[in-house]
Formats: sequence, C-alpha cells, structure tokens
Amino acid sequence: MHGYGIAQHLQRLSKDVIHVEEGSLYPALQRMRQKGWIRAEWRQTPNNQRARYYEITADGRAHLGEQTVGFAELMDAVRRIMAPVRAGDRDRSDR
Amino acid sequence: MIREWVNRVRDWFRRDVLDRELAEELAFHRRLLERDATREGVGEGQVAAAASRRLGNVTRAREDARQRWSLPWLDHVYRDIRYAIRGLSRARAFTATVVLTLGLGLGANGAMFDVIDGMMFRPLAYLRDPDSVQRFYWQWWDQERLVTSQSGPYTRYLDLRRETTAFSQFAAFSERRLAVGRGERVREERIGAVSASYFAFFTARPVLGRFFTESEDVTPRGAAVAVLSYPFWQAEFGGRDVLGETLRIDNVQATIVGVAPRGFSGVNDADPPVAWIPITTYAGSSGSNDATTYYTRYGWGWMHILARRKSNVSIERATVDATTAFQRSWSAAAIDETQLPSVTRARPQVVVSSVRPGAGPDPSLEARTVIWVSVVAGIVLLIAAANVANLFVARALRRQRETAVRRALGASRARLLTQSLVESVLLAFVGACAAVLLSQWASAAVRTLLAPAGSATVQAFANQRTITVTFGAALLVGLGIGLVPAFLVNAGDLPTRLRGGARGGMVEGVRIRAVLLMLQGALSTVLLIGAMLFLRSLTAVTGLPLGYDAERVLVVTRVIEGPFPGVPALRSMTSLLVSTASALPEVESAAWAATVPFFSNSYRTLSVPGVDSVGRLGTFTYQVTTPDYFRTMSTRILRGRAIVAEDRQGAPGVAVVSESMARILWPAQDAIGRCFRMGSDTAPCLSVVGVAEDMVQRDLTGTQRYHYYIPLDQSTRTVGNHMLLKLRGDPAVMGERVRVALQRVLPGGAYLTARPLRSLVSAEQRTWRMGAAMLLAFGLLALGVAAVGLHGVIGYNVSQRMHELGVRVALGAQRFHIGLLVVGQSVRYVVVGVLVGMVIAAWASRWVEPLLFRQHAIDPAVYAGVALLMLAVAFAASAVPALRATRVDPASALRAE
Repeated sequence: MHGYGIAQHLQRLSKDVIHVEEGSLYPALQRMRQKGWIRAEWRQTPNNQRARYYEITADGRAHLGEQTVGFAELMDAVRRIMAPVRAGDRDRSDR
Repeated sequence: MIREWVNRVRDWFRRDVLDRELAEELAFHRRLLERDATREGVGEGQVAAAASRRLGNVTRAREDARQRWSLPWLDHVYRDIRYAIRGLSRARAFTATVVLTLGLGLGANGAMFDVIDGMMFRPLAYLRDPDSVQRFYWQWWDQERLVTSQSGPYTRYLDLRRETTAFSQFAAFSERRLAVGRGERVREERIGAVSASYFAFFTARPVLGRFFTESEDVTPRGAAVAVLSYPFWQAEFGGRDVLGETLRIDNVQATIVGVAPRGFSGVNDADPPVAWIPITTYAGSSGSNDATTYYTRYGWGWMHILARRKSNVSIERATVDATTAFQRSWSAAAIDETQLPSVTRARPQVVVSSVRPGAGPDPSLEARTVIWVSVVAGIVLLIAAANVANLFVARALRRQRETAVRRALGASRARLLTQSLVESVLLAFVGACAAVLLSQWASAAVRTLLAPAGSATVQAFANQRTITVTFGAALLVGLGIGLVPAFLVNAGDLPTRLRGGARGGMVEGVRIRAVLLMLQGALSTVLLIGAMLFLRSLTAVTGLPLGYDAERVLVVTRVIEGPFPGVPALRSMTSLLVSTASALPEVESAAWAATVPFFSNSYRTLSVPGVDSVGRLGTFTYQVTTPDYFRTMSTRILRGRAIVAEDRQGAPGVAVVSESMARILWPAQDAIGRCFRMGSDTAPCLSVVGVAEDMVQRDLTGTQRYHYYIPLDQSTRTVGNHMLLKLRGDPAVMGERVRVALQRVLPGGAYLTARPLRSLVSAEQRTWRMGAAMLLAFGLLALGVAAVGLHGVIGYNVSQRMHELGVRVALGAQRFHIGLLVVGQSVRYVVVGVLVGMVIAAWASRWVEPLLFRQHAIDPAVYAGVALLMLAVAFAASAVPALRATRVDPASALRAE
C-alpha cells in the first residue's frame, strides 16, 4: 500500500474520526522502515504511475502483536479507571 | 537495535536519494488528493488549496523525515575529515613529514610483528584445532645445568605413545637436508621424515594420490614411498601426473604416491620440506648401525614429537603425564646407555609447549634477538610519535587564536577534540598505508638476514594479521598524538588566549615540546648505544681467530648412493679423489677430513694416564685427516710436527692436539710425547707428536677448544666423506668447476657436493650480523627523526623569539652571542636527553649482556662516542636557525609587533 492508500485506509477504518495531516505519515513510515518493521518498494500503480509501496515485515508483524496486546491491556485499564468515575458522576446527579 | 543503526548509517550515505524519493512520494500523494478534490466537485481554483490542507505542513514532514536519516555525529566526522583533508593538503611539508615519520615507525613495527608472528604465534596452515597440538621438549639436569632439547630417539616416541594417557594423537618427525635426484642433477633438499600419523594432524588433503599409511611406516624399515610438496611438484615435474614415478631421496629409491596441497608445509613454514617419506624408511636406510637399532636402542637422538592433547586435559596434567612416561623411558635408556645419569640425578622432565620452537622453552638465539629488535622497533615508534606530537603542538600553537575564536563562538571542547583526533588518526592511517608497503619490503629483508642463504621462501604479500596490527597501532598512535595538542589548546582561560595572540599562553606548549624533545634524545641515545654494542660484538665475532683461514677453502662432500661399497673401495676412492684434486690447476692443496667445522663433529671418550675422568673437563672433538690438512686450512703447528705420510697403518699411533687440549690435560708440562687413548683404556696408545693452534670446530662463541687430529691411514673407525681444498681463487667462482672435474673420476653410485667453507662460517655469524644491522638501521632512523624534530622546534622557537632577539641586538648584544643562545638551547635539550638515555641503557644492560659477545653492556667508550654523536647532531640541527637568529634585523623585528 502506498502513503496515500494508507491515509485513506486509516480514515475509512476510523470512520473519519481520526484526521491527521497526511504529510506527517511519511516521517513515521521512515522510522518504521529503519526499525525494520516495514519494507518499502517503488512500483507502478494500476494507473501506470510510480509510487512507493509499503509492506509489513515478519518483524513488524511480531512487533504489532506485542503492541496490540499492550494496547488492549492499556485500553482495558483505562476503561476500568473510567467506569467508576462515570458511575460516581451519575450518583452525584441523582442526589 | 543494531539493525536500526545499520539502517540509519546506510540511509545517511544515501540521504540525497532518500530526500528526492520523499519529494516524489509527496508529489504523488498531492496529485491523488487533487484528483479526489476534483471528483468531490471542489471548484477549479480551490483544488490545490484543498489538497494542501489534507496534506498538512509538508516542509515539517520533510524536516522530520530528514532527521531520521541524518546522524549529527557522522555529519560532524564527515565534515571534520573533509576539513582535515583540505587543511593537510595545503600544509604539504607538514603532511609529508608526519606521514613519512609515522610510516617509518609503524613500518618498522609491522615488519617486526610479521617476523615474530611467523616465528612464534601464527597458526600453521592446515593444522586441525591448533590449540590442542603441542611439541615435546625434553629437559634434564647435566651437572648444575638445565639442558633443553627438542630431539630424542625413536624409542622415546614409542615409549611415550605407549605410556601416556593425556594425548589422543602422536606423530614423530625429523627434517634433514638429503640428496634428492641422481647423477648430475642431484641436489640437497630439505626432506621431512615423518610418521604416517603426522598427516592426521592436518586438514590437508592430497591434490594428487594419497599420503602414506601406517602399513608403509613400519619398523625395521618402512616402504620406499614419498609425498611431494606442491611447489616441488610444480618446479621439478611441471605438475604432471607423477604417481608411480620414482625419486631418489638419499639412499631410498622412493615411489611417488601423492602430492600435498598448495601451502602445506607441515610444522615448518619457514623452510618447508620438498617431500615427505616415512620416518622408518629414512631411519631404516640410513646406512649406519643406527638403521638396525633405532627402534630398540636409545643412542640416536634425532627426531621430534608432535602430540594432540585430549580435549579435557589441561597442559599441566599433560605435562605431568608426559614427564612420568619420560622418566620411565629414561630409566630404560640408562640400562642401554651406561653413561646416562640416573633419573634422580638428571630429573628429566617434559615441557609440553608450542609447535613453533620460537615460542617454546628454548627459543633460538635468532628468536631472542628478534624479540629485542622488536622492542627497539617499538622505541622507534615512540620517537616517531613524540616527533609528530611535537609538530602537532606547534601547529596547535599557531592556530591558538583561531581555536580561541571558535570556542568563543560556541564550539564545544568535544567538537574541537574530535576535530583534532580526526586529523591525527587520518594522518596515522595514511602513515599506516605507507607502513604496510614499507614493512612488506622490510620484513623480506629481515627474513633474508635471518634465514640461511638460499632457503628463504619469502611470502608474496603481507599477512592479514600484520596489516590489522599495523592499522591497530596506527589508530592508537593517532589518538595519542591527537590528544596532546587538544588538551594544550583547551588549557588556559579564554579571554587571555583571545587577547594573547601568538605569544601569549605559549609557555605551556614550549614545556611539553621540550619534554618530548628530551624523550626523543633519550630514546635515540639508548638505541645508538645498543647499536654500537652489537656492532662491537659483531666486530669481535668476525675478528675471532678461527684457527684456520676459511676464505679460499672449498668443502667437497662425497655422498654414496645405494648399498655400502665396503671400506677398501671407499679408501681407494678417497685417495683417487685426493690425488685428482691435488693435480687440478685450481687447487693449491687438498686434504681428506672426517668432519667440517660448523657442519659435523666427532668425539669419543678419552682416557689419559694420570687424568681422572677426562669427560668432566669438557668435550674433545677430533679430526681424521691426511698430511696436507694443516697446509690447506692454514692452521699453524706451534710445537712438534704435523701429520706426515709416514703415519700409516702399522706405524706407531700418533696425534696432534690443540693448544687448549694440551694445556688442560698436561698443565705446565710439554704435551709432546704424552699418550692418550680413544674409547676404552685398553685401546692402543696415541702419542702426541705436535701441538696446533686452537681452532673453532663447532661453537663460535664457546670457550672450549679441545680438539685433536689423527691420521686417516691409522683410523680404523672412520673413513670420512669430506675433502677440504685450498683453491687459488674464490671458491664461490671456481667451486662448481672443481666439483665437476672431480665428479668425472668418480664411479657410479657416488656424487659430490661442494660449498665454500666461509659460507658455513658466515652462517654462524648471522645472528650478530642481523642484530648489528637492524639495531644500527633503527638507531640511525631514530637519530634522523630526532634531528628533524630538534631542528623543527629550535626553528620554531627562533621565529617566536624574533622580537626578543631584535631587542637584544638593539641593546647591543653580539651576533655571536645570539647564535650561542640558540645553539645552547638545543644542546641543553640534548644533554638532558643523553643523560637520561644513558641511565636507561645502564639499567637495561643486564638483559642485553647475554646477547653480546665479549663485550660489556656498559662500555665507557661506546657511551662517550654516542654522547659526542648526539652533541654533534644537536649542533647541526640548530645551525640553520642559529644563523637565522644572528641575521635578525632589530629595526624590522621591533616594528613587526
């Protein structure tokens, strides 16, 4: 997938919630490439234009796995922290 | 983590490409966004703006990405290197001096490392698991002296192989020079006599045929087979299929069964054998009594042992194991050899040590000398480094204001230090390149000095290890000399230095430079003293009275091929050769001889009436010869007469003895008419008819010169194989012609080799010649480097003091005194250096003394001579700056400020 494709994809998946400056995608891609999580390659698009395609590597997949687990745990923790707060808010409003 | 850094460094190198690619990528993205905008119906004029909005701050993105592939320190180093190259290529003279100085210093060390590594440490080619392979060295006490030997009898090998448990592999080997080929083409070559197990120590596979097997290496006599070395196969057989052909090696008509691979030289890569034959084949056909007794008796110590330690056995345990077996073997030998002392007295032990004898318990004089010379090379490098540091300091001082300004403008100390280091390391590396070329040539020269003539097989290109070490040393030296000026320049507070200009804050630098100069002077003094000591040793060695004149003597050696022809046949062949030789126009006189100095010796137990156990006095060597011997060798008869033709079989037994022998056996009495017996005390009496001057038979520097001569015609035991010919010209020129003329009268089955006697003598002097040559070369090199350094510093000082000197002249100082002031400074440095150097030399003298010959390590004449030489150099080095100082023009010097 090329940079534009990735940007479109993110936007579609997040249902337009996440809006980033699409240019800032590229420094992040460079960092990931240097870390060996993704591979980059120049290819022709179906419309016969030259574009750089990015692809996840085995290392990247492994790292993604770790991050997903870590993120899930984090979200869980956040949810647990947030739940009583909201309940408390409700209590207060009831009084 | 590592990969990320590798990637970053790689990206750094192609950062321009990456930058272009990113721009292209962003442009592509922008095009697609513009297309989207158009599709969404954004107005014509708004498309670009909409795309830009989506894309965000592109410059920021590019900056951020660029940061990912920039490495600030690498950028700095890169810039520093370019800056250094620019600066250095402007200062040509400076660069050339530094590169040359470091090149010489590093080159000298590279060459010495190469030689030492080859002698002691470099793993042998093809050797399997080199760490576990050892050579056995035998040690025992003889009287109060510890004797170390590498060689022992074949029976010892059998004993140790049977009685030890610490070793998994054993091999026996011996290398000797034997006649190879036949007829006119016969030559002496190095041959390895090795057990079949020898090849199993190596990973080498034959390029042709096979190595020989256990069934071909059997007592009493192994099979007549040979394995050729690769170079010999190429040179002699043109690399054709030689399997099944025969090659005569000594007495063996050997069938060639294989060819060793290229680069295989067994355990001797300094002087590799041309072929290998089974050790039992060599021993079993040696043509003497030994041939039938070598595997049952202990009298013939001639071969070495290689063994592989089992993987779980330490060297200490292996030593204990081998020593126990050796002692048992010694006891067995003592039954056979009655003169051997008991185990309790001799305390025999085995040293399980390096395959390379240079790193073993008894290194040769060459190896020990080489170690010394490499210490010297190290000192030369120190001097060179001090010199370069000195030049760097001078440069740093000149740039002081520049650096102060840079500091004031915010350059960090670390940045300035890095810059200085980059410059010095860069120079050191260029020096190392010069050094590798230089050491290439120098190590070949050293090896030629070391190796006996004609046997040197010098490697074609510098060893990988040598190159690595040279560059490693260059890195260290570069860092070292870069640090000195860096610290100097950073010293002192900034405002002072900014104000001070060239003359302010200089004191520090001058002091460091003075110390460096004195250090150079001291080290040069040490080296020159060493060189002079060795030179005087060499003079003493070459001037040693040999007791004969080797200059015009040719040694012709008869080699008998095939079966032993019997004593009568040999005797008639001998007289035919002597009479033919005497009749040749080139020959002045001819004598037959059983032994040749520095080549072979004969000695037997003597019994002398009235003297108890003659053996304890030392070794008495003897010569069996014909009447013309003394005339041929120019050995003087001091009293009595020489051997004459009438001393033949049946006539009373006579002998001529050396002066030392006469003195030790019959002190304060006339030896003429005395009697001694060879062998047992029941042997016939030999009466002394003459006393000859002492002569050097086997050991140039030994003090024992006990030697005697008996007539060939009266000898029952030896017929000998050598003929000594005094020629009417240079034996190196005429030798071959004489040999061919003599070869013609020989029957088949025998051939002659010839060599000048002086080549044997000069081979003995080699170590001293090498030591003297190398120390002198290094000493002069050091002196030259130090002189250049001195000249530079004095010159610099003069230019810095121009103002002061101008004032002095203006106030009425004599020009002569101005000159004296400058020269005096130079002399002061050198005097201190010389004094320090002398103290160091005196301190080191006790380690140098054993390497010298009839020369005290503390020799006032040498010390004084070197001091004078150093002073002369001090004068010469300061002459030009002093002259410049005397021409100072007070007006312009004062105005210049």
